[in-house]
Formats: sequence, C-alpha cells, structure tokens
Amino acid sequence: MVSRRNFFTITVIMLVVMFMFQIPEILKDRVNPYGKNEYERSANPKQEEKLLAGATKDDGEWKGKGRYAVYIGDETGTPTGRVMAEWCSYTKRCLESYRSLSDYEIDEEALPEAVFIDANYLDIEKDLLTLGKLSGEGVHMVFCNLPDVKEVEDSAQLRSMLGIREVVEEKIKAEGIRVMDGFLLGGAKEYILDDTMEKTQQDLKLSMPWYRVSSGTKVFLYGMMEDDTMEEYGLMENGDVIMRNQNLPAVIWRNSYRNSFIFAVNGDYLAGNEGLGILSAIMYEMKGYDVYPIINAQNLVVLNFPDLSDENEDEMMERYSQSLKAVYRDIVWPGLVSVAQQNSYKMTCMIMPQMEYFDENNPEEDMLVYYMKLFQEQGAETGLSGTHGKGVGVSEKLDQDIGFLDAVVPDYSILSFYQGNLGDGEMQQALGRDRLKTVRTIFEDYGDSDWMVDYGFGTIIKQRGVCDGYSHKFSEDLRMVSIQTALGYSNIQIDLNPIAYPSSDEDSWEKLARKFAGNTSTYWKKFRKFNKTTLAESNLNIRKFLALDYTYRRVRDVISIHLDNFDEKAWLLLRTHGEEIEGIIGAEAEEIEESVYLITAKSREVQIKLKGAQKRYYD
Amino acid sequence: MPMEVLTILQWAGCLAAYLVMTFLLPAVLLYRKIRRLRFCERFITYQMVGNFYMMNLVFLLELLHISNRATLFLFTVIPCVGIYTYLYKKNPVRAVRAGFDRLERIAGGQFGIRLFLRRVRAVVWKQMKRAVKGLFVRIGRNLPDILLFATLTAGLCYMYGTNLLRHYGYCESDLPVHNYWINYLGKNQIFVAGIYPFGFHCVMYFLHEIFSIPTYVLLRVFCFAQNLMIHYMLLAFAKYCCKSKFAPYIGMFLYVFLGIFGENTYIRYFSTLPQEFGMLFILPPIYYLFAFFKKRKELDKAEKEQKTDGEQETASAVVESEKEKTKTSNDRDWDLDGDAKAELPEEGLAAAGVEPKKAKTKTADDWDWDVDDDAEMEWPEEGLAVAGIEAELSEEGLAAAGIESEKPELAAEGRRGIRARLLRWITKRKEKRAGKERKPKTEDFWYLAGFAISFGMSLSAHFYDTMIAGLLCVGVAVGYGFRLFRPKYFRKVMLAGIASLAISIFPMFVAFLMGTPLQGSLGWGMNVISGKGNKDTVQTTEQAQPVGTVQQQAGGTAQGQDMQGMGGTAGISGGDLGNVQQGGQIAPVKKEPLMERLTAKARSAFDAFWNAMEIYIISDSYPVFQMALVGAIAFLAAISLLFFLIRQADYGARCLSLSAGLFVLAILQASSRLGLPTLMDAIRTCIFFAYVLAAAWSLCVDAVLQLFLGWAQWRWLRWVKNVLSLAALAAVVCYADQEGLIRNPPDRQPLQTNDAIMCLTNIIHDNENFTWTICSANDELRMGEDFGYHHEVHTFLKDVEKLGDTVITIPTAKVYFFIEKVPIVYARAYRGDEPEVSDEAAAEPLPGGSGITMYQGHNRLIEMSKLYRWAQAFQKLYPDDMKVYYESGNFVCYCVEQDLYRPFNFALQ
Repeated sequence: MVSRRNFFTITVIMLVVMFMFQIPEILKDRVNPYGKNEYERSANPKQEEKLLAGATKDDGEWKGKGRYAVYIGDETGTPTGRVMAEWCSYTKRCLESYRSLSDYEIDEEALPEAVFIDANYLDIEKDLLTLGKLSGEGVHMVFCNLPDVKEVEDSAQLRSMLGIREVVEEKIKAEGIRVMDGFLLGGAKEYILDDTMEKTQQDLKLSMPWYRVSSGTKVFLYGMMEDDTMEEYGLMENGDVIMRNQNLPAVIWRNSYRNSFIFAVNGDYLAGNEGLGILSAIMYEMKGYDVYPIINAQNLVVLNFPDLSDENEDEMMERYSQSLKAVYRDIVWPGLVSVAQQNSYKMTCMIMPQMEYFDENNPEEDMLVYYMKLFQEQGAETGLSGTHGKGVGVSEKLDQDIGFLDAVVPDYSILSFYQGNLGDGEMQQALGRDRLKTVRTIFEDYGDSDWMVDYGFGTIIKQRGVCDGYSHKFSEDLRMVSIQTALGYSNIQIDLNPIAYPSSDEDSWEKLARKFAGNTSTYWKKFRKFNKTTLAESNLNIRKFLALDYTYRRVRDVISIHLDNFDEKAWLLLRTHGEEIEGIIGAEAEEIEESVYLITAKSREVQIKLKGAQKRYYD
Repeated sequence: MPMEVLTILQWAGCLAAYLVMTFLLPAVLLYRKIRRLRFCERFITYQMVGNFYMMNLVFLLELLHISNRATLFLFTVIPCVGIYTYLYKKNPVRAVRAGFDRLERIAGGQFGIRLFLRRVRAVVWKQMKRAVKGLFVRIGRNLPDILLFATLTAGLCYMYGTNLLRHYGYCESDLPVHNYWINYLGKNQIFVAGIYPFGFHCVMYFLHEIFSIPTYVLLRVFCFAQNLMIHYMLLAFAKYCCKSKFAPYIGMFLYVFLGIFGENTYIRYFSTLPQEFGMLFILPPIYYLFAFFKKRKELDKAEKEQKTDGEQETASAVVESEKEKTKTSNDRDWDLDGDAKAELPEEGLAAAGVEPKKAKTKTADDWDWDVDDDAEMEWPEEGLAVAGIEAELSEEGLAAAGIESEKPELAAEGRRGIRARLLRWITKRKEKRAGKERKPKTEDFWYLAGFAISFGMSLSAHFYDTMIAGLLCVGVAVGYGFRLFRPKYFRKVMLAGIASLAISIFPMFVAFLMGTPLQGSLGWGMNVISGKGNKDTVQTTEQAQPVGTVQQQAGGTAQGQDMQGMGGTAGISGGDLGNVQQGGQIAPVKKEPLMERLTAKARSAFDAFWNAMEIYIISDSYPVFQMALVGAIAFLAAISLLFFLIRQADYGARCLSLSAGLFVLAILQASSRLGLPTLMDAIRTCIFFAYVLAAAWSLCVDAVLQLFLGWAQWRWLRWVKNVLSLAALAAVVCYADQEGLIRNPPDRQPLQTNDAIMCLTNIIHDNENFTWTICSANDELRMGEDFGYHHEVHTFLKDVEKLGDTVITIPTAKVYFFIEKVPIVYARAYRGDEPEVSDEAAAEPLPGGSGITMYQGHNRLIEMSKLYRWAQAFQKLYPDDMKVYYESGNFVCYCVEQDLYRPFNFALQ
C-alpha cells in the first residue's frame, strides 16, 4: 500500500523528469528561428559596395608597388593565359602580356617579379639572347610549358638554361606523378596507382618528354617510372633507389642560371585551375618566403537536397522500400550530418522543392519546416537550387518554388543559389525576381575554363565547386591541393539528384555515401585548419579577398605587412622555408603545416617576427 | 639555455652519477662493515669498490656480448640487493610478503589508507629528522675540516672548472679515439681497435648506459668530476698518512692554488683521459700496503701475547673479543674524526679476556673488518681462487688463527713442490667437506684485497698509472723493508700483486686468446719499455716542451743536459773526452779514485734530476720550492730514521716510503738524462711527481709536529698539534698570498671551436636521432655517433672535385656543414693572426695524406676554404634549402634540408 505522501512524492519526481526531457525539446522546436536566415547578417550592402569598389580598381597600382609579372603569350586566347590572368588577379599582381618576347622591352628601372613564358610564343633562335639578358638582370623566368622536344634537344644553350642534362626519350608514359614535399600544401603526394585503386583513378596526363636534369636543379614534380624501365635505360643500377630517383623524368623543376632562377613546366599543368597553386608555389620557391592573401573557406555544398515531394516513388520503393521523403529524412540526412560533424563542415543545402512539376506530388510544407529546423540546428545554410526537370520552364519552376517558399518561410532570405542547369541568361532573369534579390552567391559546377571565384551578375559572387564529393581522381586531388595552396579555398559538392533519379546501381546512397564519407574525411584532413564556412560566409570572405590589397617587406627577421581595403579581417598565407614565427602583432597565426602559417589579420598593419636563424635552444 | 648553464648541469649530472656508483652505493652496502674506519679510508674503499665493480661488470658483459642497459642494470641491482640482504641480514622474501600483506590489508579495508599514509609520513619525517640531526652533529664535530674541504672544492672549481665554461670542446687529440672505443662498447665490441686497458672506457660506458649521459658529454665534462676525485683521493691519502688534522691541506693548497708547478703537471687534468682517470688508483695501493703492514704487525703482536697465555685460551679469547667488538661497533655512530678511538666497551673485552686498557688505546685504525662468524665472506675467496692464491691465503688465515703447529709441516710440503701442494689442497677440501669450520679471513687479508683491486685497476686504466703505482710500491718496499722481507709478509704481498695483475690482465688475455690483436699504442709502449723507442721518446719530449717561459729557459740547456747526463752515466767526463781527442790517438785514461768517481756520478745524477725538475716540475723562478721539492725527499728520509729511533716505526716507514717513492720517481723523471731506459716521457712523469709531492709536503709538516707533539696520547696535546697544523696552513696561505704565488685558472685551449660543440648540441636537441648528417673535419664523427651520421670534409671535397657525371648524395633529411671561417691551428689557441678562408687557398689542390694531416696547419685552411666556397655556390643554387644554422665570427654552420625521396646532388658541375 503506497502512502499518500509517497504517492505524491513519486508523482512530483515523475513530473520533474518528464519536464526535464520534454522542455528542451519543446523549446528547441518552438524557439527555433528557422524562418530567418542566420547568415543574413553577412550580407551588408554597404560593406559589399565598399569591397566591390576595392576589387575593381586599376591593377596598374600593383605595378607601382613592384608587384607585376610579364607574360609572353596570349592572355585571353589560351588556357594558360587565362590561368595567368586569374592568378595575377588573386595575388594582386599586374600582368603585362606580350605576344612575343621581342615585343617586350626590358625596363631596367622596374624589372618584373618574373617573366612567364608560353613556349608556343617563343622563337628559340631569336629569343635565347633576350632570355639570357633577362637572366643576367636577375629576372626569374617561368616556362609555363616547354618548346618542342626537338628544339630542346638541338639547343644546348636552351638546355643549359633549363638545366637539362640530357633528353633521354622524346616521349614516354610515366607510371605516375610525384609532388615533392614543401611545394604544394598537403605535403608530398604520389599520384600512382596501387593494387587497391581502380584504373580510372589515374586521369593525369602522363605522356611527356623524358628530361634528365643536371645538378644544381631542384625538382618539384616528376614522373614516376618502373624500375625495369629505369634499368633498361641504364639509369638505375643494382636497385639503387637514390640513383633511380635522381634520373626520373622531371615535370616541374628549377634551375639556377646566371643571376636568376629558371622554372620549367614539362606539360600543361598551368592550363587549368590546378595551375593557380603551382604558380603560387613557384613564386614561393623564387623567394626565401612568401605572403599572399587567401579566401580561407572550406564549403560543403549539398545540391538538390531536400526534394520535398514524393517523387519517383516506384524506383524508391524498389530500391529502398521507402518513399523519397523517407529516404532523405531517415537515411540520407543522418549520413550527411555524420560526415559533416565528423569533419567539422558546415553544410549549405540547396533545396529543390520538387523535380517534376507536372505530377500530382507537390512539395510538403511540413517537410520544409522540418528540414529548415534541422538545418538551423546544424548551422547549415539553406539555398535554392536552380535544377529542374525536363518539360518545365525556368520561370514556371521559379514561380512555383518561390510561391511555395513564400507560403512557408516568407521571411527567409535566400543568399545562395545553385545555378544548376540554368544558362547565364536564365540566371540573370531569375535574379531579377524580388524573392531572389537577396541572393549574394551563385554556385556553379566546376569548369576548367572558369575562374574559381569572381564577381558575376553585377555584385553577386560566383563560387564554383572544386571537387565532387563522390569522386576523387588524381587530377581532382591535384586541383584541390593546388587551389588550397593558392586560395585556401575548397568547395565539396554532392548532388543528391542521382539518388532520387538513379541511372545505375552506382547511384544508390549506400555506395555514394561511402565514397563521399571516405573522400571527405581523407583528402581534406590536412586542410582542417582552414575556416569551415557556408556559402554565405565564404561569400563575404571572397569579397574581402578580392578587395584586399597589400604590401609587405622584410627587415631581418621582421615581416611587416600593410593591408589596404581591409575590412575587419583578412587572411593571408605565410610560407617560410623552415623559419618559425616567434611573435605577431595585429594578427593571429596558426601553423597549417611545416613552414606554412595562416595569418588572420585583425588590423591594417601586421608585423610578424620570425625566429632568427641564429637563435638556437642552446646558445 | 646558455651553454654555460647546460655545461654546469651536465657536469653536475656526471658527478652525481659517478658518486652514486662510487660512493653512495658502496656506502649503503659496506658502511656497517667498515664504519670504524676513518672517513678517508672509507672514501678510498668506496671508490675502489665502486670503480672495480663498474669496470669488471662491463668487462664481463662485453666479453659475453650481452652488454646493454638492461643487463648492466640487472647485474648492478641484483648483486647490490643480494649483498645488502646478506650483509645486513635482511630477508627479502619476508619483506616482500609483508609488503603484499599490507597491500592486501589496505585493499581489503582492514588497514585504512589514511592511517597508512600517516604512518608512512611519520616514518619519513622521523628518518628525515634523524638524518638532518645527524648531519648537523657531524658538521658541528668537523666544522673546520668541512670548511677547509669546501674551500678546497671551491678552489678546484675555480682552478679547473672554469675552463669547462670557457671551452666546450675536447682538449686532447686522442679523445676522439677514446670516444670511438666507448661508442663501440655500446655495440658489444670491446677492444674494437685492439687490446688496450679499457678500465676507463668501461666506467664511461657504464655511466653512459645506466644514466643516459651521452658519451661526448661525459668526455667533455667528466674530466672535472674526475679531477675532483683525484684531488680528494690525494687528500684522503694524506689524511691517512698524517697524524695532525690540517697538515694534509697544506700540500693540497700548494698543489692546487700555487703557480709554482710547470704547466705540464696539471694541463692534462682538463681532459677526460684514461691516464688521468687512472691516477685515482695510484695512491690507494700505497694506502692499503701501509694499512696491511700496520695491521699485520698488530696481529702478530697479539698472537705473541696470546701464546704466552696459552694457545687454546687465547685463540678462543681473540675470536670472542673480536665478536664482541663487531657487535658493539654496530651500535655506534659514524665518527668522521680521524683520531676517533674505537671505543670498545670494557665489559665485553674483559669478558673476552683482553686487557681493556690496551683496547682503549687503540685508534680507529685498529678496526675489525670481518670477525663475524655469520659473515663467511664467500665472494672474496672465490675472487682470489680465480687468481690461484687461495691456498696461500688460507694458510695464512689458518696461521693467523693460531694454528702455528701446522706450519713446519706445510713448509716442508711446500718444498716438495706441486705434489705437496696438491695433497694439501685435497686435505683442505676434505676438511671442508667434512664440515670442519673454516677460519675467517683476518683483517690484513682485506687490506691486501684492497691493494690487489686498486693496483689492478691502475693497470686496467692505464699502464703509466701502474708504472707509477709500482714505483711507489718500491718506495713502500724500502720504507717497510724491515717487515716486507719477512717470508710471512713477502709472500702475501707478492701474491696479492700477482692477483691484482691477473685480475686486470684477465679480460685482455681472454680477448687476446679470442684473436684480438694488441692496440697500436701498446706496441709503442712495449718498445719504450724495452728501450727500442727511447730515442723517439727523448725527441718527443723535446718537441712537446711547453711554450713560453719554461721552453725558453729550457731551450738552450735541455739537450745539452741530456747529453751530459748520459755522458756522466757512461763514465767519461767532458775532460776525459777532451784528453782523448787532444792526443789524436787513444790515450790511456787515468783512473780517478773510487770516492771521487762516485761523487762525480752522484753529482751528475743530481744535476740531471735538477735539470729535469726545473724544466718540467718547478721552474727556476721558484728556487724556494725547488729546494722544498728536493728537501722533502731528503727530509722525509732523515726524519723517518728519528721515528724509527723513537719506536714510531709505522709512521717512520710511511715517511721513508714516500721519500723513497719520490726518489724513484725522480730517477724516472730524469731517466733520459741519466741514460737509463725511458719508461715514461718526462713530460708525463712530472704529473705524477707533482701529485705525490703534494702528499710528501703535507707529511713533512706533519712529521715535524708529530716528532715534537706526537709522543703522548693526551687529548690536549692532540688539540695543540691540530691547532699548530692549522696555523702552519694559515702561514703558508699568507706567504703564498704575499709572494703573489697564487695562480690564475689555467686556460686550456680546445681542439675544436665552441661553436662546433654548440651546433652539435643543438643539432642533437633539434632533430630525431639518425635523421641528420654532419659534414665536418673529424671530431664530430665520434661525438655524434650515437645520434646521427658523419661525413668527412676531405672525402666530400674529393668527391666534389671529381669531374664528370658525379652524383653526391647524403641521404638524411638534414645535412649540416661545419666550416671554420678562421680555421683553427690544430692544438694551438686562437691568437687572432690566423688566416681566414680565402679563394686563393680554395684554389690550391686538395691536400693528401692520411690520418688527420689534412686537417692540420695550412691543409686545414685549404679544406675549409674549399668547403666554404662550395657552400656559397650551393647556397646560391638552393637559397631556401641551404640555410645558415649558426654563424659567428670564426665559424659557420650551414644546414641543408632535403626530401629524402630525391636528395640533393651535392656535386656542382
């Protein structure tokens, strides 16, 4: 028999327990401000205007500051020229381009930092003299590609200039490529297949002339060959690995010629966006140290998620025995959250209310609210996807989507928009709608011929995906590492449309999720110290990055950096060739990897004190 | 951290490690057994035991090829625990069981943790209080002694320690070789370069392995720890010999603080060398011999007295009294006072039938090492059995126990040769098996054992030390000749000597049997001893003369004196030679009277010694001390006769021994001038001479005091004697100060730059082991052998200068290049006029030769110039990969960091 007193006590305890568990949930649900975009504050029109003004100023100013490069080639008509222009813009350099070397007159008063040469625009016989003169003047040169192998073979002077001891073979196919430690961020890399990899993983261009470089050169990238081949050519004896490695075909190297360094790129590594990082690394290898601005943003963009209507039901039931809604809610979302949390990523989810607009399945308002709350809890940003199914026009799609959003989350500002399969004209049209006037970022798929980040459609920032989360081939890795080196920037994109509309067995979530999780947690591990952002946040970083101008100089062990167009914060990368930071004023420094520091500037003037070479533990 | 601080810490670490092994651990184990010895005697014994154990443990494990940290640790700890439990009669099993019981009780809650901790705290607190109290009591009792000792230590720190802080490198050219040998002990390769006395190396290796002190650090800084010990040993010896308390400090003061001695007498103290390490073992054998002769005599006297009272009763009384003495001594406190009496309780002695009055008058020297029935002391017997002297000593043991009646029979058996010995041995074994009680070893046995191990260690450390110890033993033979040549003494001493040699030679002999050849310098030593190398030795001596005033003074005369000395010895005087030449034909030599000839010979011998002394020991600038040197020898000899007359035979014998020892050393010092075989360079002999001289001077002062005040045992007279000895010390200090004789700390220039050592230390600190290579002249080869790799500059440059398709790679992540911008002139101090590296020198052809000739003189300049030029060219090619790691006015260290997958090709076309 329970006494009344005990009964009362038990009841009170049970009520307390119930409230303890229920109240937080209720509060979370009721107080969740899902109807407002928490990243809205990052879009300040006045600030953006100011930053835009900074970003669009004349690059001739940079030349006045001694930061300019000369490009011998076609700046607009060739991929290499485009990359050069992009890189110079990002690194705040003025680029002077000439169609031929003879067009360029050396200004001895204001020598360029480096002369970049597209070998296709070089007349070897004529230009060697000028090249020699430039070298004598101490102007560093970068051969963005090499002349024809025959020309190299025939010209001893060119070989001497490039540091080529011997042309072993006019064309060979290497087994892989090795990037030496300290060149690009992320350390040494070997792009060579092993037994565990699929053959499709190797997608680098491995055919190249085999140049054996002389002593005094420093090789940054070289082709990897099988031991048998090396022995066949007499370049390896008795399993001597050191001898083998000394004779491997060089891909990117540096030679010291007269008073300057000559860099040579044996291949078209500067014709795509992977060239950005390689160019930054080359500039770093020219100097004892280098400081340059970066974006400092690592995004994870989930495209076309969630689809808020029950689409492709038969397929879904067959594959998952659940509706698409349930698959997304119960299978996909937990998987996404798990990967994002594990790697500390912030997601940007581009919602696609529906793919098929003419079926009877309409997007469910409750589901949108449900996801918006989840996104809010996870700190994810919600954007809108421009992807749509066949048979529906852009305006129809947007009408329906906007109408749906207006009904459910009328106050939510859409800051990011995924261009999807919309053309530029359609995009322009779409952005004219009132509901989309808040858009600050257009996200696009990766394109080899596009700038990684840039202003587009007026004041809007265009950001591009760097890697597909489901695939990570060697060329993608090289691109990712290179862009990280140049910009401290990465966009992992995963498209969930293949799950709703699979085209093969490979499109099932369990397989895609495994690849996505594996790639994300493996290849980006070394860059975890960069800032994890949503697209709206990275948008602001990019605006600051594009607007930023800077000058720096070093007196003994102190590097002084002056920042123009500085707005609250700026990020720079300091590479030091082994020197360590002893102290810093006006900024914070974090070591990304050995000799690489992320500088978060908090004022216009930054002073970095490096540990002196003489300062030893025991002195 | 400043290098100075690091050096001090390193030195303190080395000293602490060494003291743990040679003082603390032996003290913990042996203190209770030898507590009645004077502190100076205990100190000598601890030192000998500790060093002996370290040396022989390493020898044993190395010969078995199982030497490493674990085995060394095990074979150190287990025997120590064993000895401790045996000597202190502990029951480790019971202790472990009790510990477990207690733990169980704590775990089971029967014994509260708080209560347990409270008890532990109480015990610790009690022990601490007791220790602190004991410490203060001892300080109070021996305050003047402690103050003087502290002053002496401070003086030694000032005189010999400051050099460590000025120069970090090796100061002797043979140190890299010793470093190499020690390094290879770590690889279980003893005698890597041939058979050589490895005692020093074993001790260094032991300290390196057990205490994780890098070998190069030991060889850099241990010299000062060793130096302290050498001086403490000298002080302990002088303390033992002297009867007054402070007289020993007089000799120490003169030796350490005065600038009267030639540089050669102490300059080698700045290096951790085997010969200097072996100096630790020169005086202990003499001490043990003195103690043996004294103790043996007393035992004989006791036996005689016992005989008169009846053999049976006496024997039991001695045993009983000794038992009582041992028991009583266990309850007594440690007495630091050298004159402390062994205050044995009268009751006990009376009960044992020994006259109390006699027992009371015995000094602390009259100690009883092992008369405890429980302490059978199996281990020393085994040790001696190895040396084959078991039978003899056992016989003496029996004799000492009063079994004299057997003696004629045994002697007769001995005459019958091997068969008789065999029979005797069999009889003894039978007796032993039959359970017949063995007689304990008498005290003099342990003194002889001490003599054997200390003399043996001198041989294990360095031949020269053995030579000196041997010559001093000759002195003891003279001093104690009246006892030594009695068969009972002689046989024992000789057997102990043979045992000592056998113990020390045994490891070398085993290695020799295993096919290891003799090390090169042994061959040289043999030649010197056999006379083949005499000519070279004299030349070496002349060349190696010190620079500066001493050299100038000696320059004109040394050679002439050598010739004169030899001429004198040959018996043809300068005048005779003139006569012979004048006549154009051999004229009959007129024979002078014997006395005149003897006088002439003595004079020429004296001149030769005087000449050697003024060159090497005390220069002409200090005539008083020159006279004091010669006078000390004569004075000790003379005063010893007086002591014999006043029946203080032991004291007199000590004086005479020291006098005779110095005399023999003087002959050795002047041997080349006397035309005798030069067993040792004069430049080295002077080190030992000055060392022993310090003890002799102390003894001179003490002898005077003893002569006038030592005739009675009154306490006040002893007090007066001590006060007078202190006054004498004060007088000497005042005199030295007034005369400006106190020297400044010597400046011993190293063979390496400080920068090189600093760089090496930093490189070891900054990098993981074996991820780097140093390319330098040669010293760092052995210094960094345990941590990284080394590449010879000469080899490197030879490769660099090869023409054609050369590839030079050094496959470590970092490569350091040590370049002297102002190359050192090997074995000479920087003067400021040395040439700097230059393009002209770099253009000269690479020097040839072997050994280190390419790093000497102008060759070094060429090597360094070439390397500097190469480094600058390479740095131009790879400015970010080759950086200046450290730079000073005279030195630069470049560091090349490279990717090991494709190391740089250091060849520059």
